[in-house]
Amino acid sequence: MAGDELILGGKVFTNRLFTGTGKFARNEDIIPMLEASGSQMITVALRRVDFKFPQENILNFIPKSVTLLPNTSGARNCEEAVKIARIAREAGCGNFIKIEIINDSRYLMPDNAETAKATAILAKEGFVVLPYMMPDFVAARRLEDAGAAAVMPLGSPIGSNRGILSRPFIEMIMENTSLPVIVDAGIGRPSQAAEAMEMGAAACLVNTAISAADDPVGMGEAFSLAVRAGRMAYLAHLAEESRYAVASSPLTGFLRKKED
Amino acid sequence: MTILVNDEPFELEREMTVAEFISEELETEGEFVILVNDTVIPAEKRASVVLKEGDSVEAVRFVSGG
Repeated sequence: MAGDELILGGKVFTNRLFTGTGKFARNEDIIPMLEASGSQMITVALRRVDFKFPQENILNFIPKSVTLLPNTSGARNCEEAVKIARIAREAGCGNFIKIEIINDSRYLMPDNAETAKATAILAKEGFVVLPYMMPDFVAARRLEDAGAAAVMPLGSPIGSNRGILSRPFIEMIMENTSLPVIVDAGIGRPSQAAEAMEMGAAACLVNTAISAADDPVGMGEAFSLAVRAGRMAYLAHLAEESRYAVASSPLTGFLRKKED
Repeated sequence: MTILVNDEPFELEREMTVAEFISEELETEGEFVILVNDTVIPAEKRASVVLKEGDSVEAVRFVSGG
């Protein structure tokens, strides 16, 4: 769709599917997934090196043309998130940061209050802040005031693949803030990504549903098509819903005897 | 002397720079980010920063994650 670009932090995104590097069985699948999906932004995490079991440097699997979105996963409060963000930028990962502050291990629910504090600090330092949040439009307004570049409300718990359980609350955010809304977490099927885009989401961030598929490359492409279809539908404006049938063929000139 | 590496005590036989510490003491390959006392030490400064008794060194790396 020519001209339908998403601009975040001065960067132009022509593809509205953002992806993640988590949980791939083979990191070698990331590059072909990015190629098949056309995704232009991908998340990474920062961890201490375990010298006994060193993990691969994930940056070796991401083409330079793709924007990195480091997350602050592991942070339990504002201070820890701010530290991670600063390290990521110092390490040359650019200005984008996904703030993710979590205290709860069962549902991995984000802490909106700590997230707002971290957003204010990091936005002042010039970061392009994308906060992962519980869909609450009052909190979204706070994030907007704090300088967030977008908000990333969850559809359902991270990695749950349960879809957009929070739909009405995400719609309230769309109604009550002017920030781009990127639906993050819980999107398990391409049809759910299409649903988010039809609702008016600016983008979707999909990780597990792609990386944990048997064929992550094929699934990446499927999500990309769904996001595109949903976006096109949103721009074309969906026809109204009705409780009763509304005939789509003419209601006159039937080939039958007139009843009196 | 004793320093902390990722919060664990670590014995160094002599004073050394961050660059020497990485090449002589860390048994892992590949790139990572080094912080000394919460400050990131850029790659070009690793040869000039000397570790001292009690310093806290953190080695971090970008890994997969959503």
